[in-house]
Amino acid sequence: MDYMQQDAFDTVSAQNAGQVAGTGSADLENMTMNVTGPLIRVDDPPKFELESYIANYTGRTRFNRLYLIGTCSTHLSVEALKAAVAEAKSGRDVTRYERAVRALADVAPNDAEANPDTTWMDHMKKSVKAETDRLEHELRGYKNNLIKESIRMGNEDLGQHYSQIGDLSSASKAFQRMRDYCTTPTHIASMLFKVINVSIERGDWLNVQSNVIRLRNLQSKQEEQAKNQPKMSAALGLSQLHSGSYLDAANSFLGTDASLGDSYNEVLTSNDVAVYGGLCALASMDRNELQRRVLDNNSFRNFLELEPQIRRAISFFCNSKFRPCLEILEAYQADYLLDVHLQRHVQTLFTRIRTKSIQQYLLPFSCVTLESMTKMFSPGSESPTDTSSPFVQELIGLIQDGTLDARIDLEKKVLVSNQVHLRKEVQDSVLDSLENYAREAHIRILRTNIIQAGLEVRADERKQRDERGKGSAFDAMR
Amino acid sequence: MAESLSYLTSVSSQLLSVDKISDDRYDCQIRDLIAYIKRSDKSLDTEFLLNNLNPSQHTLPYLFMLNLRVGSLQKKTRNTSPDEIKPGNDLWVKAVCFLRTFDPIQVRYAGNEWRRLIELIGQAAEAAAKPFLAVQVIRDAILRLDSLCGILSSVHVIFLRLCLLSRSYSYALPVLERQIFHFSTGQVQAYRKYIDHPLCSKNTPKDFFLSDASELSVKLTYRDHVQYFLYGGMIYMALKEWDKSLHWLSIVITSPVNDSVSKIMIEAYKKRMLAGLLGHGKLAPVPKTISSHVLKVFQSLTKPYMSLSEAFERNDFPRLRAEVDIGRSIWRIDNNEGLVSQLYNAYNSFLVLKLGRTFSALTTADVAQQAFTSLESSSKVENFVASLVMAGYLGATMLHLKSPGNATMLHFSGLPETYITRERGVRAWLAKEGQALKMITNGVDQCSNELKLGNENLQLVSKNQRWPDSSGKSGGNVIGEADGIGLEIDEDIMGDNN
Repeated sequence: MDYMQQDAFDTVSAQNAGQVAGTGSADLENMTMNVTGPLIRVDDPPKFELESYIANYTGRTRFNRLYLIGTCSTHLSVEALKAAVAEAKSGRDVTRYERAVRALADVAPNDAEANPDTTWMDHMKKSVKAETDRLEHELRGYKNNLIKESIRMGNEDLGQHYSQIGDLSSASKAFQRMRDYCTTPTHIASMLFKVINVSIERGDWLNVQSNVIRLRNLQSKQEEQAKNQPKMSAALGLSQLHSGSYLDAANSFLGTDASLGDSYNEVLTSNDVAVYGGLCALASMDRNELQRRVLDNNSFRNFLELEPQIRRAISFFCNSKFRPCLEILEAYQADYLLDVHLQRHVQTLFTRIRTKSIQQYLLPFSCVTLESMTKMFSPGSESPTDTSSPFVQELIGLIQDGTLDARIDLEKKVLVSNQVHLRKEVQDSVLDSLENYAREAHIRILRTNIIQAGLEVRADERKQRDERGKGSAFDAMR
Repeated sequence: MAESLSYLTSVSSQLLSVDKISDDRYDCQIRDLIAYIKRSDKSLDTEFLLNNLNPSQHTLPYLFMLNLRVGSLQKKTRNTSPDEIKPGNDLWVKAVCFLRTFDPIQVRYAGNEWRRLIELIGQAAEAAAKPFLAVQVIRDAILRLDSLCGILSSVHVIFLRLCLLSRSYSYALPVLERQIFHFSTGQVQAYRKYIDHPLCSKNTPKDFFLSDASELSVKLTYRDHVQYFLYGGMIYMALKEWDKSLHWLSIVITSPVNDSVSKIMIEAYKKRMLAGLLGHGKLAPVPKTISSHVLKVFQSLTKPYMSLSEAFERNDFPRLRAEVDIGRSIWRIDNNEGLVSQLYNAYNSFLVLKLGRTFSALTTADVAQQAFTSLESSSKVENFVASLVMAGYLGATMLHLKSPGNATMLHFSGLPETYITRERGVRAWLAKEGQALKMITNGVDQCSNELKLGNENLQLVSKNQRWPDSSGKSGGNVIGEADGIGLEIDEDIMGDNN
């Protein structure tokens, strides 16, 4: 992580902090809207087909994804929002139906579906209320009868219901209440998965991590563990991705077993694992590691086959063909920007990959012409060797924050890597630490001796001696 | 008169042959001599004696006579610094001559008089508005009395103040470069009293004869040592030795504090911030020894300086200029105007140094474009860079190009240092640091001995504290871990009682 850009890291952690602070009521949809929703507009057409893309998912994530695409992409907005309205109407969550309709009204005000279906809404509100009351009443009954299994199932039903109507914090609470009534490891595992899923949707990534760890520590049968492992690592990877620790995220995704298949479609698909894992690895690992742990990784190969462009990008990177690698990523940028989990991280990940490519590219050279570098990293820009060109500015930035150990020669238009004198460095550091030690020791000795001599600064003494002037000598400095 | 002269000279010349007589005898004789002088001081003709005594051999009589003479003059003219002691006059010449040649061992017995003479010289020079005349004299006297100068006395403070007043900064260096470790105090360590060394002996520890008992220094207060280090820091600042100045100012701001912070320390903190900017282009990190509440006081009282340095560190020139203008009255009140006005120049040079880390060659026009400061034209840049290179801050070369526009190309590489010169430099530096380290280690040892943390003492303590063990261990194990701990504590208590 040493090439991590300082400012990039700051923004990520700031966002993360916001997440942690606002876990109480914020859910994922609101989060993306508040943080980046209005900011990101994707004008390029994505490479996927909306219908086949969304067909891969089940559950509430379908709506979230459709809504995100609808609000961000200019190309697919109407289509996606219509699908989102339909999706919302097939469920029982009134608020998100309202949101989808409002968003659609912004994009296509004349569309028939842009008018809210008030009768459906009223009907649904009433039925939701009745259902909530019924379930809570039932749960109370179970509690009076003190039958553990019934209480557990009652809570589960209630949580399920809350999550269907979009009251995620209540859902999370209901699921967590199940804990005391779980009798077998299987029950606990299923309860934890429910909590994790709700937490993922809420964007409460700390909670996701702690529950995954609980799940991992659970004593259960071998085959159970094997069955849960892929989902666990996928969820863990997701939470690490969101907290900005890309190397950990890459490791988690790489460790996801290929048996994940489409079993976790309510959160992510195998394609997503390939993309997330591939990008995180590309941004955080060096070439050897990428070769060894990503390309030569048999289980992850299954994922990579689903997203061949990621595989191509990684192998281009490993073969030091940075231009094609970056081209692939740029071509797919629109896709990644329209992904509900990846959206906020695309920019950071891409910057890191780019920075790493520049670093790797410079490694074998002691002197590179700016022209060839521009060809490699920002083709098509005019007057590539001018100081004010964006690429040169980028290089200056990288040099100044210490990422690149090189200097620009504007006379010959080359980038010269700095010569390292190991002996000199060692000597300098020795002298430096000697000096620091001597200074600090001196200060400390003086401190002890001052205290021993009773010469600490005191208030009372000052009053008596205030008359004795001290100003005169200061004048000398003027 | 002649007989008293002959008596005084005979005693002193006996004293001179130190090698032949024992320390105790020497001690005895010298005390007799002092008693004689004090007894007969009224009847002595000071002027005659002063003209006939040799200050290097008959240090004590000479010193007493000088003081008597000054005292009587002061009484007569009712003036603390009478005309005769003013620079150039008879007594001044005599005093200077004395301070250059006195015998450091004899002076130990007349610390009070010696100190008064120095104070007098300082006052006289200041009264005549010629403080510089006293600087060298006092410096030589200090070094003569104690060539290592490890102990702070009130004379040091007077000396540095005179140096600042006369702006003779480099004259202070011989004293400043000898690190201070101790402070002359009233109470001598209790155990020292049992080690009976006469004052004249070579083995007498310095902090003994420099203690208040010998009155070589007035009783110090916290003000004196804080002031001393602040003055030292200011002298180094005037000499543009920023690192040393930072160190000295750090000593001031880390001085232990009982209940309230001294204003002198705040002055030092302000100056230290500016010194950090001027010397390194950024705020110097605060030493770890400073306690957090003191730091908070500092920070709350130095807000304008803080925003000034923020502007400086962020390379925000317009803001820097605005901050300097806004705070002009503050800098004036704090007498830091001179330092603040140096910031512009420092800003530019750090900017060029930073460019040197980013570029290996660029035209001066590019520099002007990057800088956004007063260096707006390439010819100004050229002049500025030339001054930096000549001053040795920057290793760079400039080339006038013939081709378009007669631009000047700036190469940041300079002439490479040859291997041998660098190695030699490093070796010399290492040797110097080694010396400094030795001094520090001595200081540390002495300090830990005084704090009873010396090796021998610790061994003794650990020997005394060896408890009778293995008596209750088995019981502890049976009871369990938590109880076991309780039991061990019980054991300790038992050990104490024994």
